[in-house]
Amino acid sequence: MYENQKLGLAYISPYIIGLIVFTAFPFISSLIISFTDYDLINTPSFVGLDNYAYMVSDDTFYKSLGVTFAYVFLTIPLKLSFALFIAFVLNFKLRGIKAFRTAYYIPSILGSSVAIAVLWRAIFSLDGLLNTFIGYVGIPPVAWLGEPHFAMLSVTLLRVWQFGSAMVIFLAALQSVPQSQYEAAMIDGASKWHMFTKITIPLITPVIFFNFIMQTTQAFQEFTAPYVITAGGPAKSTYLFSLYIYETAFKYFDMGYGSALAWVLFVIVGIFTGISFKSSKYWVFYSGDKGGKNGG
Amino acid sequence: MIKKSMLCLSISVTLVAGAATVQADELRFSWWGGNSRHEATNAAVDAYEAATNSVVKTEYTGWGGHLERLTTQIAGKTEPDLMQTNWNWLPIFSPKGTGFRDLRDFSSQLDLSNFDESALALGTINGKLNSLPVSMAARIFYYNKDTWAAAGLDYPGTWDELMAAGPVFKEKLGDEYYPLVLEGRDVMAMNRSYMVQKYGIPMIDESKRSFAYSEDQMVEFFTLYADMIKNHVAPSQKYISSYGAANLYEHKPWINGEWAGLYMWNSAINKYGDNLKPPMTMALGSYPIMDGAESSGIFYKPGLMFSISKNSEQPEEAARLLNFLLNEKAGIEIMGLQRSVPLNSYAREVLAANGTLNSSDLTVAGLVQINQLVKKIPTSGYFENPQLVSLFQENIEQIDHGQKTVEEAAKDFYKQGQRILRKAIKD
Repeated sequence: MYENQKLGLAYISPYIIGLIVFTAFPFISSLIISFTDYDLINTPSFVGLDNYAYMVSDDTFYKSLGVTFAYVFLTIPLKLSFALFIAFVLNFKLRGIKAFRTAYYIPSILGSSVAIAVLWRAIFSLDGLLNTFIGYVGIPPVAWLGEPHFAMLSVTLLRVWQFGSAMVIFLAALQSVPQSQYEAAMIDGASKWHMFTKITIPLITPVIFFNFIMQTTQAFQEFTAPYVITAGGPAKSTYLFSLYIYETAFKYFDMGYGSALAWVLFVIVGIFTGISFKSSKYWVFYSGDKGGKNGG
Repeated sequence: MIKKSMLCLSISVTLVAGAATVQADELRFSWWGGNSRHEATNAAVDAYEAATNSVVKTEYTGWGGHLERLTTQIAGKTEPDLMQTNWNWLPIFSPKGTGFRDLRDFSSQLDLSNFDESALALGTINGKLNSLPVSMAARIFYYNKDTWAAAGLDYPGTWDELMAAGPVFKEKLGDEYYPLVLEGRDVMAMNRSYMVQKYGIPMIDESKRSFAYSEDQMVEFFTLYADMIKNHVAPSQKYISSYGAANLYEHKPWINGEWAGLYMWNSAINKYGDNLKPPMTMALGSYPIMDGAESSGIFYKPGLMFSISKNSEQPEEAARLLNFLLNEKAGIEIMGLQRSVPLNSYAREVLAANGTLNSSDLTVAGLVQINQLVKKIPTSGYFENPQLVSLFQENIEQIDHGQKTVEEAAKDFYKQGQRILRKAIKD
């Protein structure tokens, strides 16, 4: 029995070692570093809560935080509703539907790669693809990356476009909704819209919730797109929090403040997720569950 | 069964570890630069490998992100054996002279006799030669010959003529044509030069750990930028940013000759010239000097340097490679002027003899001009502090977007800049 445990541990040791070395160790050490003044080269000196105190008067901190929330609140609803809509359409039994399902998933496979961000820059640049197209219908070029609001939208659209992974999960959920419920509704004369809002949506709320949490935590940590497309500009309008953390740590060599910023982001994401979980009992329905405000 | 599994596991671990260490004797060499430098340096490394039967792993990138990458490597003690370094990195990596190997320790591999002692002094900290200067460089004016010819203008000889060129470009060539293109760090250096000529003071007073300007002078510093934009001398940061985040020389208006001038390091000019759409070429401008100015205010420093890692297991090999690149005929000829005009006197002889070093090259012509300019007020090593440069960039962008007036931007930059300088300049 004991021997078996040892063998089991040996098998999972690559994961355990990876977790300790690449996750737990940096996690703990960043917390310690956040209480120091450390430039990577010289020995760190302990400064107590100085880094956290400085944040209170740091304009860039507030600016970057505001930009991050704007980004998250813009990206998540757009991405989730788009993913759900496409999943809904792809759930119909049509000829060649599998090819479409694959096609819509492709952008997601590309992940957060730099190459895609470079492509995006080429599309939205003043001399880019988008302006060339709108030029054909006589619209003058728009400074997509030069105007703060447009720049934010351009960066957002990149992640919205990568709706595939959320879509696949939605698709699986849609397929698990029992047909009998729709048949019953049809007999009662319900419209398609009614069936969607009264049957489909409630039954897939656990999956909506799952996608919401996954996408939100990811969005809070977005880095590649603004870094490559706009470098946080113009006038810091796409200067997401992770960019500020990165520049503070690796451009200004202020590891202490960078780590403190990272921990604040961690706490914010934690609180946000916590609130989402608390709220979930009012709107997420699990099958066989009596919960929910209508349950009983 | 268990024993067998453990055996398998340990074998695979050994295999993975073995694969990682099999190349232990290869030498690592890193640099940043443009394509032409990459090609020349790789060719020089190939020649070294062939001559010495050794293996060198090259790690090269563009300028963007190179410092961040190197810092991470140095912090993790995984930096390359031989590194191209920058003069203003010395206070970061080696404040006491112990951050890199003392290059004087390798006298049997590396010959220093052809380097000017006063230049070597710029790479020496606490008596230790941390970095070997390859060349000296300064920022000067270069213009797109063809666009300026189309505008029908001579290159400006005074600051007023530069300001006056903007409206002519706009009128004759169109809205998208500008005499110059400048990013934040270029604007800072150019305005600093203007202020040195006008007031005879530098921007930063290291002894006081603060700006040397008064608040009014800082407003003037920012007004210079605003006036250039207003006069169509250079595109605004807002306009440049609408092409996305990339190097200036990768933007279409640069390639097409719409942005027709630079205030740029003479050592970097060829990568800008190389990217112009043929047959367009660059030309050296003259340096505007105010009447009565005692110094040009030019930003003059060692262009590039090489350092050997203190963690290197084969520093002698690194020194030998460095010697090949800088002191040996084969290396010198292949590297050419890709790291600007060599400081090494023997290298200059070699390059002059084979015709590489001729005054028609923009870097060489620039150096001739630089040598003639008065350089009384040296630039602080903190002038290019990344946080200070970012702060300046942010403030001029805010002027462009109408989020701040010139006065507000100057005031904010002054206040926050003082804080950055106090923190950066350690007593």
